[in-house]
Amino acid sequence: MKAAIRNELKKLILHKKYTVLLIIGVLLGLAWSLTGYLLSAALNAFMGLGVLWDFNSVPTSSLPMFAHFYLPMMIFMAVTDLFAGEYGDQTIRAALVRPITRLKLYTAKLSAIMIYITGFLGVVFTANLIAGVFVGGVDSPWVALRSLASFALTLVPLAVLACFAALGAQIIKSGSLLMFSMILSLLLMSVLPLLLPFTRNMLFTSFLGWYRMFAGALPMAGVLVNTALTLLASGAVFYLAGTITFDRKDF
Amino acid sequence: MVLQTIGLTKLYKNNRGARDVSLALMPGDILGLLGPNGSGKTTVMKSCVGLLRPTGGGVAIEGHTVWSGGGSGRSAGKEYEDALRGVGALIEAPSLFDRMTARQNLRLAAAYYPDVTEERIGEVLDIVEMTPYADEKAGGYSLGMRQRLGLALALLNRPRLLVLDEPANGLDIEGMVAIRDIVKAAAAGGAAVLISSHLAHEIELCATHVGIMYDGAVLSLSSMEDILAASPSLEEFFLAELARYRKGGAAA
Repeated sequence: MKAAIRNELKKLILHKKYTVLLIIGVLLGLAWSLTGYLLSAALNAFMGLGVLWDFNSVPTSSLPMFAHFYLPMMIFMAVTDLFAGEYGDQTIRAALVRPITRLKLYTAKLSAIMIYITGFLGVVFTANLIAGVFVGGVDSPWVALRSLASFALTLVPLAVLACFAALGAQIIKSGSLLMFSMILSLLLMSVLPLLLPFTRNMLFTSFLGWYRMFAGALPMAGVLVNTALTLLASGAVFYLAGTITFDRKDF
Repeated sequence: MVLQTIGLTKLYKNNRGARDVSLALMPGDILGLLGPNGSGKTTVMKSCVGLLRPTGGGVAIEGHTVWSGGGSGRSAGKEYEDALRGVGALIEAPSLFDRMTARQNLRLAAAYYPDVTEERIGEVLDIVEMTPYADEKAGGYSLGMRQRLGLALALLNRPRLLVLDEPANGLDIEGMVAIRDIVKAAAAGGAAVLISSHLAHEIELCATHVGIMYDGAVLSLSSMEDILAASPSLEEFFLAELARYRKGGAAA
């Protein structure tokens, strides 16, 4: 299993686009955080609008962009490469004729994607933390720890999203169609709660930014448990459906 | 016994595939599956190594179940891994990652076998005469070079069951001779080899046993000695078997 995870990670890293996307992500995160900070400081200095920017939020200010847009796109891309892409060019067979069960291989692919996303968030967090220290937003270890927790919590709904996309890859053969379908699904699942509010608590995509629930005063335990269970149940259903479909596939 | 299939059946939606195929391979055997395109050779091979889910029958490798009888399902966890541990396979086109070099492709595969070292990677590259190109990306390889690397991938784990589907595809005369030598050497070393071709000559020059396949079924399964004792060549034996089958079908 470890060997399979290492292999899948190697395959991802060999795609130059993931390194480029990491660099762009870091720069984008820094620009996002610092622009907000500088704009707030300028408005305060020249127009006397008071402090509009929470200095403590510098390390996490770009997190919504990553949680709702950037990282979902990267997950869709990675799933397309490691699943649909390999089905398309039949390179999936390279692993399937080796002594590894399909369940392990499927899990290894998902694990590799999440390890990469964890590394990505780690780099973005570090860069933003350093930026926060420079602009004076991170003035205590508590702020840094709280930011770290926010980044770590973001991984949970993203893991569910990866399971969802991997299930999609078992159904949709074409890589480009898969990518398009996943983006459309994410968009629909994000818009649906606005039209039908009762669907909000049923869709895991409503909780992509659930780290915010832990940011201020904690909500009631019931709300947290419900949210965690929705994410867990969605992830379990997508993962199980995905592994069963993968196991039954002919190559 | 290295490979055993009992009543192996895999039918596609168009009702083609392979029907009721029972094979048994002992160490040192080279079983050549001979038949026209679409006769079910690849289907049998893919089912043996777990790429296809049979609709009936079972497959076992070295006593470990790959597919249990009745096509009910793939064996679980360790049993499945143990079955595939001693298998080397080259099915249809080689599965190569074009962005990686030959050596990197081999390292990916080697990761599944704790006893396959960097030295072994060098050995298989030598065997298939790819050492000079080992650090070039596979995307730039010719068809023959890809086939050679595919063969290196199949040989990497010193397989006790070698499954080769039309391995001579894209190879020149020297390459075809080299493949035959590799197959014979593997069998001499105790491996069982399941090899397919639609070229009678290829099978005749290396197989110890021959299975004639047509329309998804094994029409006959004989030793090469018996075949050549009964017919001037494998090609004539094949044509005779086919004629007998068609005549039987017409009579029925």
